[in-house]
Amino acid sequence: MQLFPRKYFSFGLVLLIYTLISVVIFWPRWQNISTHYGAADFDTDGTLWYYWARIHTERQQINFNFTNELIGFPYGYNLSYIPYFSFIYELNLLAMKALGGSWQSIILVSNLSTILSYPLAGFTAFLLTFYLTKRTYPSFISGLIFSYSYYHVLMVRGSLSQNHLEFIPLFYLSFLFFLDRPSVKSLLLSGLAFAVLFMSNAYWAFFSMVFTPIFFVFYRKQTLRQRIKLAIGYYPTVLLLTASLNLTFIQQQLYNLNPYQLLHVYAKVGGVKDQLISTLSFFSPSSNALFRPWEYLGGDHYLGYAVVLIALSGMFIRRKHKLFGLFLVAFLLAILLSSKVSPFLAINEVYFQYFRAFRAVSRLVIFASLFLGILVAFSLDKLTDRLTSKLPPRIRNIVTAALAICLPLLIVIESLPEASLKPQMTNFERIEALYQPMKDNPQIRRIAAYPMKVDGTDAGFPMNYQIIGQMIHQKTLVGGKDRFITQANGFETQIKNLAHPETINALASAGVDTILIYHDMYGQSNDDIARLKNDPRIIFLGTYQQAMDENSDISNNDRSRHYSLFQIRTVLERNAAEDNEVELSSILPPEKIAVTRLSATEYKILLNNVSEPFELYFNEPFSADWQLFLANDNSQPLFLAEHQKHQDCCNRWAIDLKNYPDVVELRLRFTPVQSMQLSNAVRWAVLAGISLFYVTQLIMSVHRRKGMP
Amino acid sequence: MKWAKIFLAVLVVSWLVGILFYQWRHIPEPRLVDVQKRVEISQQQKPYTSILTLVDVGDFTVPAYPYVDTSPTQKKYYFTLAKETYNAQEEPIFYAHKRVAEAVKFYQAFTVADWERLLVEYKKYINQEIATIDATNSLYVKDTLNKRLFAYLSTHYRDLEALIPQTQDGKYVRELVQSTFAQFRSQFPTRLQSEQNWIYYPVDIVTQRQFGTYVLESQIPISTSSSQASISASLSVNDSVVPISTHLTKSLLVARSEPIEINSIDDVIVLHIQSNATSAAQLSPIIRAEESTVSATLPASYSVEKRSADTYQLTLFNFSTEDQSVIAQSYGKGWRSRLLAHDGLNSVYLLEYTSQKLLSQLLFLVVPFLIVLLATWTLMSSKVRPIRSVIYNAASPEKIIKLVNYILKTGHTLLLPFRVYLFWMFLLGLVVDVVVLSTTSIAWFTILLLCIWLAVALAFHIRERTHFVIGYVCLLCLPVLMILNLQNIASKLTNWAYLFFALGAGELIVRQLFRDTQRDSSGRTLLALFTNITLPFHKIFRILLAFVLINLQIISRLAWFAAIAILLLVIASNFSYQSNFYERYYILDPSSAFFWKTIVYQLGCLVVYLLVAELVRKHIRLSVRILFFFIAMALIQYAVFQHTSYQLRTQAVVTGMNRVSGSMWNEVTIYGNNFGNAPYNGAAVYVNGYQQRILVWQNDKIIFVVDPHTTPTGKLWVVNVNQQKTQEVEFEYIPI
Repeated sequence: MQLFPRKYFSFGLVLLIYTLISVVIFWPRWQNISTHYGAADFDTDGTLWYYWARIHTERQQINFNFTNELIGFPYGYNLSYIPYFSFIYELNLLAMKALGGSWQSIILVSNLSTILSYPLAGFTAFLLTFYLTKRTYPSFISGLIFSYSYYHVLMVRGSLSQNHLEFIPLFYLSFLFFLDRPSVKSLLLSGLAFAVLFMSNAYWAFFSMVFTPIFFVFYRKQTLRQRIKLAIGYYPTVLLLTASLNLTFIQQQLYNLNPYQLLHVYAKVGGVKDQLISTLSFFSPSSNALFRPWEYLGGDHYLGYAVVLIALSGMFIRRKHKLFGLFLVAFLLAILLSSKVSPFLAINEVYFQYFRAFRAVSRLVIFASLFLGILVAFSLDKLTDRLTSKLPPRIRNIVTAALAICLPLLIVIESLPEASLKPQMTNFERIEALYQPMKDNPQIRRIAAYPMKVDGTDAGFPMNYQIIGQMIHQKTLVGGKDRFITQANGFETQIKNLAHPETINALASAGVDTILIYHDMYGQSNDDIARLKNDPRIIFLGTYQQAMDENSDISNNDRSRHYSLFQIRTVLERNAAEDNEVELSSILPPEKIAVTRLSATEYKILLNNVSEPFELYFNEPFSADWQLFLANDNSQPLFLAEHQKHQDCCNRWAIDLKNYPDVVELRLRFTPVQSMQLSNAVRWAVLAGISLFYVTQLIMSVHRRKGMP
Repeated sequence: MKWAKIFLAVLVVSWLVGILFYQWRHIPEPRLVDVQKRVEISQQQKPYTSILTLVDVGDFTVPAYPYVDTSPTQKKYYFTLAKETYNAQEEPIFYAHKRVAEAVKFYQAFTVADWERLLVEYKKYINQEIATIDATNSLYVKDTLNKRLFAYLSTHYRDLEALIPQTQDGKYVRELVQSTFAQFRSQFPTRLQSEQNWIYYPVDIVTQRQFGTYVLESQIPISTSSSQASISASLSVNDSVVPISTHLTKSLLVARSEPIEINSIDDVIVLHIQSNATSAAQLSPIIRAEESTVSATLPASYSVEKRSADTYQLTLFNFSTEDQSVIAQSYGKGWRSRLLAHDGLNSVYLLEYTSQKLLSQLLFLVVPFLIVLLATWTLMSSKVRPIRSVIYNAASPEKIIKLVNYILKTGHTLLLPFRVYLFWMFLLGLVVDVVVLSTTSIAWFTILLLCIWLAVALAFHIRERTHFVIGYVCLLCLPVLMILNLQNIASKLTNWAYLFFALGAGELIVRQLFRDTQRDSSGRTLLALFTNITLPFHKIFRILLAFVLINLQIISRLAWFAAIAILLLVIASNFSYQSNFYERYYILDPSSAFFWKTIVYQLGCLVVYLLVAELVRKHIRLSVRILFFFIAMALIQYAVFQHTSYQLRTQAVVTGMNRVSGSMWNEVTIYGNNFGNAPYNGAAVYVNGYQQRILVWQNDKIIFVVDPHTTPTGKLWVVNVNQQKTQEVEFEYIPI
């Protein structure tokens, strides 16, 4: 008896082949999957650090408020303005936490997640094409073109959330399903698919939506009247579902729409023409690479010459697929929005006028490759029969098989960027050795690292090489890196320039004990080091150096393997006088109070038979977001009125436990998570509602079937 | 009809009230966050501490002697001296330096008379230099320049001394040289003569805080090898010794004085260090002045009084002038401050709200309102029905398709005789675009070619398959072009391939849509939609639909009226844009700059236009005249603005400065445009040719600091990152 229909076996085979291709292509990554990390100078390390910060603060999407001009809490940076919420990240974080949360687990999971996204993206594109053509081989080729396109393979070194494209074809699949069989069920399904795509990456979701009007106008399963009605129902539903599943993210992104951001930040990035690329780079043939291998082609957006020719040859088939025109228009639109075709520049201008926030139009090449894959499938569907029908029957099968094997090989080889074969690797085992002295030194608490620069003009993001170091040494990195600090005039000149006479005092008054200078990262490093060595206020700890990793190009991560450490004498003396280990203290005798640090954002306080009023001190910089709760009741923060600033910097609570039991367990938490909790509640409620709807539908249909004779 | 009129009247009144209410509500509160922040900072302030300014010539070293070719023994030498005096291109010290160079080169041939003459000349120049220095008002600057001169003299004396043993009449010459230099040295204050003296001035205190009682604390780093006995320090203020207490830490000798009065910028503080172990010159002591009592710091505060919705009176107590100038820009959009009274550190400001957009807002609101008003009136009249049926008939889809077919057919017939020429014209254009213009892309040229091609396609009945074939051929050419390294041509050809694909795809999809339309017309779809989905509100929607259609009818009938309305909107938004533009760049005085630079010219041009129009007017309708008046107004407005703002938009230009004079360490803000984003590539601010010290550099704003060494009185200009020079502005240096 056949358990599954035969086509499901072929589906499995397709997924297996995609996985094998991914294993072969990314073999260098597989070899060192838990120690080496790709992409030296990309935002990947930012992602890596984000994982690390999330694991170590044991919170979801914490809004790291700045409570002091120099010191951020708890690791130095503000995450709240980074558009980092992603469904993929949350899944990865679960796996990382399950594996223990060490840097090895972070690297292993993110590497695996990156590499596995390729077969998944290919497979979902395969499903979409299969839905349209009902043919396995053309659909397989379509998935291959989409997933192993030049740009996507290049992203193996890039940001992880951009890497996961598998939700894009799934969204289109649900969308076409809705257009074919419009009902409340399919509408909810499609809306849900979009909301999930939005959760995985808002950029991809927005760009996916850009193409949907074409379908409403040209997808000719229904009459135009019906399609207009469907569109009227579709867009509000999708908007509502997306908003309800992504409340926090949308709230956090609203700042992008403020006049400052629109006027200064986006305007600074450049005009329309700076964002556009040459159409040539989509079509520039690989023969160029064969004949002129010494030249860099800059073809990050290359779609594959052979593939384009095959797709476009479908134009000459008289009885072409009825959706060919539609997908051709979508394909041409994807290229048009991202490239310079001079008569159509007005269209680009209009696009930028309204969607400047979604300005990274070069990413539309992903959509071009999705639609191209589908066009190729349409063409192959008709062309193979035509080509082989005239051959003698004896060799027909052999020729077909040979073509079927050669075509995928041609596609993979033609669109494989060389960069993915020789990836830049950062070996974390060696990074660990480099920063171990800092980790082991308990006197190092807060570090001002120089050059004190922001990665990106207004992002407020630390430099990659500094934060990968922080993942090892786990000390707080200081100031000059937050968006608001960089905009605060005067302040940055005081701390960013070590030659300024007041810098050391400014650092000392903010409790910064350590100065870290990267030798090869800026021009004045030698002067700064010489000056600090002669400064009586400074103690020189030593210079640490390591040979670079063996990469083809030298990256900043490589260059950062040479640094010197200095400490500020007065701060060290001050730190030594205070008891640094216990950040929470009080005048109570030790048998009445026991403090345990649960995480960087949570402390447990056990109080035994405390009848008299007392004061609790906490030596993190003052913030109203530090709040006390009862251990078993998270709803109501306690002693809010009694929370005051202490010694001009820190937190103090005047506590009177008159109406409390003898033994009280309190929790001190950093709390900017309320809006996130609301968002979560709405998200789960909506998901539960939709699930309930589907379950009742299912039960009703079963009942209906039983009721039928 | 009566009720309708009442309704209209109520509508008009409520609308106007709405506008007034909007305007009244729209005035935001002035933003006082910055004031509050500064008050908070001032209240939390600890006693003021200043690191006193050290008299230091920095990395100054005596430069090598200039090349000389004339000896004092030669006759030509008199011409050399005469030429020097006449030209006087260098500072006097340069010529003194030259005299020593002559001695070093020619001393073997010197007689006593030569030495005498040389030293007379040398003295002349040194005296000139001393006179220049003496003319300086600031004691700090004077000491700095004197220190430099002293270094010169020491080097000169050392070098001349070395020559003496080898000269004739050595003893006499030695006496001569010694007496000359002894005479100069005696003119310098004693504090400058010792290497162990460190001289400080309280210039930081005067810029940031008032004078008062200060405790001086000096930290002198010592090496671990030197013992307490081997180092000692003493402190004197204005030549009187101040009692100090010293203590020694591991690495520092800390000397602390009693509280002393610092009353003047010329109070000179001398730290004298005697050290056996290390040379005093190698030490780098730090000296701080800390206010002796907290009461010396006056905490800042403010009070604000609301006079009306758009006027507030703000009184600032104990705000420094720097703070006041920074705060003046921070009250929020539309708010301006005006200084009413000033008394020491207390200032009274009047905050006024000026909405630049009032006119445009009124126009944006009032004009649509008038249109709606007319429409409502017409709707209420009995002429509704016939108009509605006219519109229904005009929008019939069959008619539209028939019209399009007719246009295509006529186009084909018209183009038939020229089609061959058109084709060759296109081909030639294509070659020019792809080959000749391969490195640039000219949008209008490509659009023109595309239009010609569309005409060719129409005349030859070219269908989508042909477009696809041409595009495909273009793509097939790519490998060949790439191998030949003709990247630009390949790039252009890709564009054309894309265009042909786009044409083909467009035609394909329109053809499909056309078939679709025949089955199910879009016009009827829209009408049916209204009847289907608005069933419960059927009547309301029908009225609304009729209302919209009637409005369309009115606008099409009253086209001139709409044109005038649009022109008014254009003029209003231009006005708003232009005034905003001037507000952005003429920060100090935007209104008057806008008025004098733009509005006066615009009015002038308009008057001239009206005069000319009056001369040529004959039998022209009033409505047409109004239309032409507004067109002219819009054009004049545009042209004048383009002309007056040309320099500001494209060139480096200074539009204003927060102050046109300054004394030492003042920060001067230069406003303007196109300075570049950072002072690189030779970009700098110059005063009389001296480069200034930059604090902030933005595209439209530069802040530099007045340095007594390098900021003289004279012309100020900016050189931007593209080496464009701005106009020159007068700047005056005011010595303290």
